[in-house]
Amino acid sequence: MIEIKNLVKKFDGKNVLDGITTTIHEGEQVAIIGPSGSGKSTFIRCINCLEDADGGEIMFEGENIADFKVDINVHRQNMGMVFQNFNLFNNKTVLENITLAPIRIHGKKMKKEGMSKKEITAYFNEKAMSLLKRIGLEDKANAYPSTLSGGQKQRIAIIRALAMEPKVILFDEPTSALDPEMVGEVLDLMRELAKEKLTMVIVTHEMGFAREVATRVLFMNEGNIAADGTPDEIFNNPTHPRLKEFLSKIL
Amino acid sequence: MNRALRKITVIILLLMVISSFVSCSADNSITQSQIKIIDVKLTDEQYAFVCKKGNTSLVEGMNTFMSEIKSNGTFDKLVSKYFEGEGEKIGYPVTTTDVTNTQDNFVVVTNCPFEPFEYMDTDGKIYGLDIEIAAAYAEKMGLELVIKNIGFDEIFVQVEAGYADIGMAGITASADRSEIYDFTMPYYEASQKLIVSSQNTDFDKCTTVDEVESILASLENKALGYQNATTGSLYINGDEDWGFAGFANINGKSYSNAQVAISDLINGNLYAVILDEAPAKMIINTLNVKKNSTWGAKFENFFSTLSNEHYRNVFLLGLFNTVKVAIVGLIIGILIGTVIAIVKVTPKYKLIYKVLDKICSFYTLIFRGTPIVAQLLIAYYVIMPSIGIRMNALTVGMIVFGMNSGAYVSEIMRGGLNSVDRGQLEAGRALGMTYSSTMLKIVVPQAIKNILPTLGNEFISLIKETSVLSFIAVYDLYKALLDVGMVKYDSMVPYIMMGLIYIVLVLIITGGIKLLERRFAKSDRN
Repeated sequence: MIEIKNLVKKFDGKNVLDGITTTIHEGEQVAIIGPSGSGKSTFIRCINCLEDADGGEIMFEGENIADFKVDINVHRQNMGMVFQNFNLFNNKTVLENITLAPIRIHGKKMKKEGMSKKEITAYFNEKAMSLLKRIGLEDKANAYPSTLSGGQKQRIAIIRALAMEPKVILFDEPTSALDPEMVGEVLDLMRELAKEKLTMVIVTHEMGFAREVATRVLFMNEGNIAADGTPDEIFNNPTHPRLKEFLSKIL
Repeated sequence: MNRALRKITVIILLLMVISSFVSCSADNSITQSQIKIIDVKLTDEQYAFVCKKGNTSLVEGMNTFMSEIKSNGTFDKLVSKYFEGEGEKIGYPVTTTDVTNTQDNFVVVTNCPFEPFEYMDTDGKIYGLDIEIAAAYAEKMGLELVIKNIGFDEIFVQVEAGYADIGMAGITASADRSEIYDFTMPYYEASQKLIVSSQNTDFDKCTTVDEVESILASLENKALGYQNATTGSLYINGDEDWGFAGFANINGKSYSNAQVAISDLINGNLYAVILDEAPAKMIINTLNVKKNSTWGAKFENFFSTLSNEHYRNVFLLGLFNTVKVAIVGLIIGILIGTVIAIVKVTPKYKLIYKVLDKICSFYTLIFRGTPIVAQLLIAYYVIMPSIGIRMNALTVGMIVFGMNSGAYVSEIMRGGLNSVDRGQLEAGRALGMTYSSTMLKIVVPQAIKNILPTLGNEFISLIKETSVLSFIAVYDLYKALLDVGMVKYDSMVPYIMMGLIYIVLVLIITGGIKLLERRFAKSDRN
């Protein structure tokens, strides 16, 4: 689904990503782990071009999206992203947060097909409400993000990504900014999505979650993928010395 | 909002208390000295009408007309009417909006008060020798008469720029002016005279120019007032064409009109004023009659002038224009400022953004680096005429204020955009929204919320800066109240009122901003 070939990213002349090559297949849940500074976040942000790659290719749906000439907006619609700091739109209500992008992007096509603005809004509002019901936050539809807890914000950020009906969702440390008691509710939602076979790429420090949910684990070290295998291979039979050291520190 | 309302109420109550207090203490008169004219002709000059260089058809037409009325006695009748008060004077309306100069109208620019040549009376109409000549000429030619009352020095630029056909304001046809403008035939022999306080006896024995000038030359550290761009100013500062040596020892002070200069003399800030003889006589007659005026009388004067429909309309128009220019200016400013700020914060990957960035920097440099008066004057008197666009002065004012404000708002907005968490933009982009729609829907609204107090500040300074609009002959609050003050030669109360009205406007804005802030803040609370 996503083919990454020899991806290079430099900050101040230093290679943060040093030629990464890997393929994310459809229906996979890939967890990316590794020590801080190993380039995990940079890597995931490069996948949807929030950071522009300095070299290499990212093939998505037959196109190299690392190329400036490709309309990245079209591809991002199929590639959701969930951030560490939630990044809900502060000036929009919860419902507007969810419907803004679908109305502006999918709504445009529907308008061409003859639907009125009102109908489009109603359609997406209904969809957003059913997503909110799914996470039990339908009563927060008209609240502003500043009134929500971190866990609520992150779950809304996840369904905001889902509302675009993407083919893959990228998670950039989705639980790192949460209070410990709220981590569970976010992981539960992600677990559900994994069960539905949504393709997910997750940068995480939650080793238990990675072990349980991921179909594949990438261990990153110094801008490279140092180990790539099933959770069992990575967590129970680590061979890479740096991975062993990393696991011994955190487990 | 309630607090702002309360403040306004307090101010208004205070005002009422003050005005009732001053009208009660009727004997509390304001010490103002009487003035007199030194009856020695300092110069010999001739008044004529001024036209744009090369407008021979108008000059010849006017000359033919003047010869006609001089030979048939009409001119002499007008002179005796205005100099001796014989016969019924006819007043004409003054335009307060910027009427476009066309083939079908006769646009006259003049400068009041310059009695008996042109002056505004309490009925809101303009009277005077020049005015009746203009009216008779327009009638003869079948043209619609349009009279604009503007600053004396602006008369020349307006004629030059083609905003007016002719300047009729007791203008001296001097040699250096003739090089730049065409003059009609002279119609009045005039002279500059010295006006001093009645207590001043320095010149009492003078009978000749030489005697007056030797005293003038011996003065030390004395301030002498004159009107901008008049022969009086040349007389004090020296001029080769006229053969004026000038008086380097005198501290010359320039005024926008004769009445302001005289007021300053009365208030004791000037040693003397140099002024054209005929208007000097008229001003002094008016002023010396109403000696020992009190605050109560002054306020009464002001309100009785305002009760006249014309002056009330002028006042309301001025107030309306001031508010309109500030509001439209701010809206244009926010639009331009936002565009510039977005260009500034956009990553410069593409050449087009680099070019736009340079253009925006240049724009900001120009509009922040020059005073708004210079921008107004250049736009209205230089750019518009040279590209041949006829645009209403008010419209020019709104555009210039908008563009000026845009330069300031862009910096405010840039700070605002930078204050919005980068994650907001990233979240929008990650959902597949374009850069511009994320900026407009997500980032800019949050930026505006953050900069609202600063933006309110910009609006407040904008509304006060509009007081320079009169430079391009727009009736703003300042010009309107100046007009009201001219009627009875008393600007004290109009100036006080001007200050009070600006304060009230600023209070209203402050209240409005608070209200807006609260509305915007709804996303912060529940």
